[in-house]
Amino acid sequence: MGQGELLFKKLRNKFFSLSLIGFILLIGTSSFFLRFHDEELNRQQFFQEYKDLIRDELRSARNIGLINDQSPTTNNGQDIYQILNSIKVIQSSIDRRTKENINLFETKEGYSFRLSSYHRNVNDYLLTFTSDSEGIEQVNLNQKRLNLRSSFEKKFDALINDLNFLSNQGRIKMRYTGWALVTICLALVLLIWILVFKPLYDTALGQHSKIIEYVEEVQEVSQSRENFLMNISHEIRTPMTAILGYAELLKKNEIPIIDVPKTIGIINKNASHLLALIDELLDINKVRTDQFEYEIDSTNLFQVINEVFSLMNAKAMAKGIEFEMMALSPIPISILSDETRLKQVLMNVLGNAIKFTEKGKVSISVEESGDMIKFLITDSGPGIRKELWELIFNPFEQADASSKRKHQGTGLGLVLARELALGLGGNVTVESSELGVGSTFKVQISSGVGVEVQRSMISTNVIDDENNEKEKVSLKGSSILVVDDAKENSRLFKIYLESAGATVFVANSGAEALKVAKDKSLHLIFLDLQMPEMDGIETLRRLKADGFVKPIVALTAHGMATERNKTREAGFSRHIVKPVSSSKLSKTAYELIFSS
Amino acid sequence: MNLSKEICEPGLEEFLQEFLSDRKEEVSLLVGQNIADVQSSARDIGHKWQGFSRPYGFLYLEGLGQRLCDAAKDLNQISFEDILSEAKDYLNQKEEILKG
Repeated sequence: MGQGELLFKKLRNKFFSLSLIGFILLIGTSSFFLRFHDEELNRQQFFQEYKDLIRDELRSARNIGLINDQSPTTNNGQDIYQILNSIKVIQSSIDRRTKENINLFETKEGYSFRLSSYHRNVNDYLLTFTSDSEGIEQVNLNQKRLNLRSSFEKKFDALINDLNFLSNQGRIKMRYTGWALVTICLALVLLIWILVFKPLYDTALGQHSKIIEYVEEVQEVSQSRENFLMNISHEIRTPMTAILGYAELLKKNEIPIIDVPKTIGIINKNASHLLALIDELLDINKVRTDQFEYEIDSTNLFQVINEVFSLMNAKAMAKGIEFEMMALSPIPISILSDETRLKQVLMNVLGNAIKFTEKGKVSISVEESGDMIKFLITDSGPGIRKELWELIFNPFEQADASSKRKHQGTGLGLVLARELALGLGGNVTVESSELGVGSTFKVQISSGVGVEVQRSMISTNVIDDENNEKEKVSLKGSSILVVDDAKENSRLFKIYLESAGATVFVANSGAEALKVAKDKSLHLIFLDLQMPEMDGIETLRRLKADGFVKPIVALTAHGMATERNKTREAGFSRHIVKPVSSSKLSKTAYELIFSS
Repeated sequence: MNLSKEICEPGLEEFLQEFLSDRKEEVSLLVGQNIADVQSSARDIGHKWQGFSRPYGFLYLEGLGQRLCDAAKDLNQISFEDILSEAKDYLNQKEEILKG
């Protein structure tokens, strides 16, 4: 057996030992082998009988002188003893191969053909003696030979049939084994595909899609950046052209003297515009790259709204359009936010609404919605097409390109407003818009407050405040000192407090306040912080040093937390932010005089 | 400019002329000045306008006061001059209304 055959045998056995089908085949083969083992014994016996028969015949033929040759040959020249040896070799080969189950089916076919051929040749040889023989011994020999041959023929046929059967079995077995191998291989390939390659393929496909998406995104961003830079370039060049142009004319003394201040004004204006543009661009970049630091602190929402309202109202009035503000629900007086940025958001959106409204009205409503404060800014401007609702939050985009030059501004107002609002936990969006009718923008910011925070309805003096009447308190019997260097304020507060029934004294300086406090029996002092010579904090210190123990309320235009902390630490009982309404002033006085 | 909604608080009507005169005087003090030279005064005046304009029915002036404070803080000459120009026009209109 060659090395190749040995290796194949090992592999084959390994395969069979590893596969279920192989196991079944082994079982089948075992039984097959068992059967074949029995057949082997029969076959061995047959071959022995066959050889004995032939030898017997040859001996008998020699004994009676039919054969004289020591090496009898057949008609076609084959030596009989060699044929017998060949048959012996075939027998051994069949036995060996059967045991080892190697390529038996082919060999069996070969064996059966060769055996048949040998038998035919031997038989033909033997027949030549019988046809020529005479005498009783020959007749007896013939009969015996005929009988033996008859049983031999049967056995031989049985052997040939057996070999053919085994050959077929082997062929079938090989076919099944082959198919089993193919099926197992296909199943393995399928399994490997499902467990290994498909996930890898899916992952690779997914990654590929992601890469494509990323590349498209990068291309989009790159394109946006390109557009952005083109737009910036245009926005910068326009005022720069004016600046350089007029500066050049001034340098060459080509501007009449009388027009020089106006020219300088134009240069300054364009320079300011550029500065504002650069500031906003830097802000947007900072916000977008998370470099922006928000100062989240206690923010007086009322004050923010009031300041925004008064500023924007002035702009609206200058354009001859109505401007109103309303509260749709009680809102927290203080929220946790960045006061400066909140104002910036509201002013940008309101400024935008006023800018694009030529006539009619701009209004702002405010309400609390969960943990958000919601502002709705409505204008009676030209309106915005729906497909542009998001586009207007892109830098330098205006909904109507033809109006770009008509409406001044950096074109970044809404962009910055949204970026800042996002940083404050909210957003700026277009709530609704109708062409020719107007638009409503929604500004939402996080309030960062819980239910325990005090809420109130905001109002301005421009709008009738019906609540004032209900909140009226009586300050009858109280003596109050109002200290403010601005007579307009002291006069105003005197009127407010006297209308509530209080007796009111006025001082226009810290020194005057000390004198009045010594002379009069006071229940409360309202003290302005910003006064010349002796400010409010110094005045309070001296009042306390003089033995004044009644409540003192700080009056100031600043509502920031730092200011409040300062007045609290200084010893003020309350901190009121101007402008202050009549009801607020009266209520504060009432709480401090009568409720404490 | 629509000034129809600018109404003063009750009890202050008799002080409106005085208020208007004082404001015009403040504006004239600042007009023609360099913001850097009058920064402190501009800030104080802006602060005052912010604080008391509304009850007297000078709502527009309240907004100008805020802007004046900002212009003074930023030393923005252009804004400063624009604000004063607006204030002048506005106070003249108010005077016409009060006369009428």
